[in-house]
Amino acid sequence: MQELLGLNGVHKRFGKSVVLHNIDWSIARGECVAITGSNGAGKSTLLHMIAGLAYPSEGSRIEAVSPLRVGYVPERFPALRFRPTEYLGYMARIQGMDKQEARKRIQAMLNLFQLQDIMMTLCSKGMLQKVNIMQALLRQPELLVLDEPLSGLDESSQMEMIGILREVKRQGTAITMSVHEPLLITSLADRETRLRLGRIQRDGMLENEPVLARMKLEFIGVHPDTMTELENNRGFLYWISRGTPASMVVERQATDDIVLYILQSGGSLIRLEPKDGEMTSAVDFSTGPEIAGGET
Amino acid sequence: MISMIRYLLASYTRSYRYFAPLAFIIISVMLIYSYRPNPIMSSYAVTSALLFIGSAWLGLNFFNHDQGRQSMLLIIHSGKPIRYYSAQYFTAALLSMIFSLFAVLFPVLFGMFDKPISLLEFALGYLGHVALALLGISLSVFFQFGFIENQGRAAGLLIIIMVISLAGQTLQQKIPSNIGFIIYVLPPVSTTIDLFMHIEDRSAISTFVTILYSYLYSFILLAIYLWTVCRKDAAALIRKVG
Repeated sequence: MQELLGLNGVHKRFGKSVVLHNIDWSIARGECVAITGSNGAGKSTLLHMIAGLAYPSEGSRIEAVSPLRVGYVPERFPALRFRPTEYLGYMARIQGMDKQEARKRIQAMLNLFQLQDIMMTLCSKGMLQKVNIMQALLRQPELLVLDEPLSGLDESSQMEMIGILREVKRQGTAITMSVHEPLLITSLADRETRLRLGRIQRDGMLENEPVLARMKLEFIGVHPDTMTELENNRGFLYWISRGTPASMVVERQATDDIVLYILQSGGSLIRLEPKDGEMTSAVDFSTGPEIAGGET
Repeated sequence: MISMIRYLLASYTRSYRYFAPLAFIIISVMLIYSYRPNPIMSSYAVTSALLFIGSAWLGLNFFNHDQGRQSMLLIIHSGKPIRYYSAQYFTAALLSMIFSLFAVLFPVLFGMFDKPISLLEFALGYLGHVALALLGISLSVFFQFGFIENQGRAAGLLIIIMVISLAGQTLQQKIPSNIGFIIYVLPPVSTTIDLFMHIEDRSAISTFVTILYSYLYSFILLAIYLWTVCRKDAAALIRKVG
């Protein structure tokens, strides 16, 4: 596949703290890459770098075609005092589209997204997220960058959004997105780039990675220092909660090690179950009764 | 650029955040002319000083009005950061020019002066008002939350600089002569006000140079601003709190 954009040896520093370490990453035309990792792993900074909204402290960002048409979908989209058609009209004109072309494009997108043209202050989160994606798609970008596109949406809105993104992908747009929702990874992504403390922990095609099957663990009685040590296990993915009970998501193949570590540290396991929707076709949890749904 | 300015104007006016600085400017001008007759250029000196304060307030208010939430998108849509930041500056400058016109026209339309105003006085009055309004806008860009996140501190610093700028001529007489050069680093607000106060004593060249220097100072501030802001990550301009 033809490479569209690449990052070579990118470091990003904010003052003394290094947020991204030596990132080598690229995306090809039509590819969809999910960027995963726990909060603070550097996902948003990497996305800003990809979209051209942040400059590397070291290393380079190379566009295969110049200028590369990039659409960016921020995580939060404010409820502006505009109707979607007004707002999109302004954005289209800023991008240099003529009035006629902009009107046609906006109408086509309104039909695709099935969005009512009401004041954005009256829109639901799902409707605002549609406007957010529409503004990014106005000029048919070659690369669409989305920062947690399903964040805060209810299940039906999530399904609708996934359908829209699949259609965008089908039209040949390269997509990269930071995600927490496994549903989005399994239904859309070709490749996963996993970040951990600003470094790429894993970057590979999803069908070759059955290890993506994940387990959710709930436990109590573990000292905070031990929790931090747990994060150093290669199979640790992210925390759902560090409270009581603590809840974490881990790779299935590392579950035994992590459970053993928790028990040896004096903790008690409350619940161990497959993380909903995180299974790839390569792993079938229904055949694993020794782990799935187990409680102590 | 024009499309961006139109969007920014629509976005700002719909936010209703303009109300406080606008009210300040209108009420101040109306108070100054609450009685008649008034001397032309001395009155313009006072209203231009007020416009300097009002424009700095308006600028800070305008640059912070959407808390940077749209700036990343506008930069991407416009293609280059400099297009967005220039459009943002020119939108604020446009608003201040409209307010300058109001400050200069109001006493003329309502016959508040002690004698009929000449075209030269009107032109000088307008150019002087715009010069100080632009100085206010050009100063305020450095105090938006993209530069100083704590806006309480930013407002305090801006007020201090405005006060020192307004008192520049007086300060020059008070400070030791070996650091007198500092006065030329400050925004040339007091020199422009002084020009209006004593315009009859000034030559045409002195008048021209004083006003031109104000514009040049704003232009230098704008150049420094654009140079600085285009090197910042657009993502850093979003307000992290609030």
